[in-house]
Amino acid sequence: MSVSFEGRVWTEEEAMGHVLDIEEVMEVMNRRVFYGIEGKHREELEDLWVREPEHRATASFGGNYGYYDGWDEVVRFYVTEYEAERMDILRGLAAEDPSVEVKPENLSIGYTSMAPDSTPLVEIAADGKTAQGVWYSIAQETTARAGGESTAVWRGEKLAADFIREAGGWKLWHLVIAVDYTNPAGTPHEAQPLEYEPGRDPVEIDFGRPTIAMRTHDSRLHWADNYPPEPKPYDTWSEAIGYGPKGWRTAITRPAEAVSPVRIEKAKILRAEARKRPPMGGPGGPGGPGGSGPAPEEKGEERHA
Amino acid sequence: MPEQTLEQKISRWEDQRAIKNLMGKYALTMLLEERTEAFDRFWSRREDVCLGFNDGWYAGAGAIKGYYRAQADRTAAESALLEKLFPEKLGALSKEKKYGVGHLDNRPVSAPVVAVAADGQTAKGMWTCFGCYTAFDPQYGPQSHWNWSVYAVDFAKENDNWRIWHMQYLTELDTLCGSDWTKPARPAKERPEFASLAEAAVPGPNVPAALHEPWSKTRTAAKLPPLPRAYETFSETFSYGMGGQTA
Repeated sequence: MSVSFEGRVWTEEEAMGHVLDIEEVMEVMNRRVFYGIEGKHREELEDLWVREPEHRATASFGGNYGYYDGWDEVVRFYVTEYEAERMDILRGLAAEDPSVEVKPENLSIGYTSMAPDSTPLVEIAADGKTAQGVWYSIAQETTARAGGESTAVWRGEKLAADFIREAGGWKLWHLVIAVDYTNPAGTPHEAQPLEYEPGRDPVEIDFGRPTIAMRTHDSRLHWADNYPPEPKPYDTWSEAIGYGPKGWRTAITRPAEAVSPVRIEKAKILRAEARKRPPMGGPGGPGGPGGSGPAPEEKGEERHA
Repeated sequence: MPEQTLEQKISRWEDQRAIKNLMGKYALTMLLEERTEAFDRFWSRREDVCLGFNDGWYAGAGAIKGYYRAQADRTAAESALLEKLFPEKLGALSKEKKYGVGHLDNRPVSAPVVAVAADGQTAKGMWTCFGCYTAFDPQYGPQSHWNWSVYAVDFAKENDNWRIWHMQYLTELDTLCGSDWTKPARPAKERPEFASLAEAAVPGPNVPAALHEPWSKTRTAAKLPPLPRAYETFSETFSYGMGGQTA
């Protein structure tokens, strides 16, 4: 017996397999969320990411400022440098409080992060070998540091990933996390800088020294471009549509390099005008994710695209 | 696990969907302040049902029902107090319409990881929960909170329906809206008009226990119960209930 959906005819077995593939791909990303809460980056890579050498050779981890390209580079960023940074923080805390022991078990002392994913959009390739998906996450990341410099940050980010089917099931192959905003807790979104001087963006600093340094996702002016774009139905995977470095493509709504100084100056004028208006808080009032006033078009002004 | 037949795959998918829907309904029941219905609608009739929070368990049907009842009574007390404070706005409303006024408890669930036993009789799941709620503090009055938590739940199938058997709701971070939780809290204004709510406190767990240590600057690490994995039957896996796997 056959069934028809998503523009093709399936056998019942194929249809059910397709449905379960979508659920299993979503579960890989959901499992990743829980590893993140516990700071278990090493365990996440071993459990959820590709294992076959040819896939590891082309694995990547992308962000606003480029890509870590190849398994060794992914490990360098996501495990080695992450743990080194945590160790630096731990040493600072121990210097301040001798009761804090500098040992691997304490790497996550005073740290919490939750980035629950939502709004899943998953496409399984017609050949059944790969999958793509995007999710959105409103996250928080909290880090205790010495010297009263502890930080708590709200973060809005889009995640996109290529998955490939291996013997052990669906595995992460290329991942991009495109950060739209970071707000220090207790500060309103509209108070965040429209743009940063080169090298001063916290997102860029956190992303370290990627293999391929480039601006992939432009969140200047508090406007999100369309990278990574949502996946479309596809027959078979290729680098051109993938979420690895070779698949980076110009944002549909605004190319990363097309923001002109004129637009930046106009945005600053609008910002100054907005600050003269009475504040409008979001849920819980200023300091949580919330609105910052009427959109420009509500005032009859052109919206920056 | 051995290759499944088409019927088994369909059944597994339907079970997962039913369980995810159950948790969605549970979250909506809390949002709609229908707590006194929660046990009958969602919970198993097994004797060892338990509801766990950071500081312990409500163990047994009586304790769980009592917890929901106490929360509902608390909400009713808040509504009555608000009517006294705002008679012009609330005085003309019926008791039903006044119930829950000023109260918000929004705990949507996301990132589900669900495993249904091969024997189809039990299941396990974990969810993240990022939500907000408004609480009436007896000293400071209404306060809005952001809450970051995790659910870890065992389910049992009874009369073809999935039911909650053991549930842990583990709060990782709970903070006042608009605050930087790494800094000392700003002094809040005392609101003596809310002091009477101290009498309507929700009783603590009947089995105190340290299930989860929330974030603090000195906490060693976030520890969660293990994620579900595929399993044949419940005796071959761990429990999210009392004596089982906690954080």
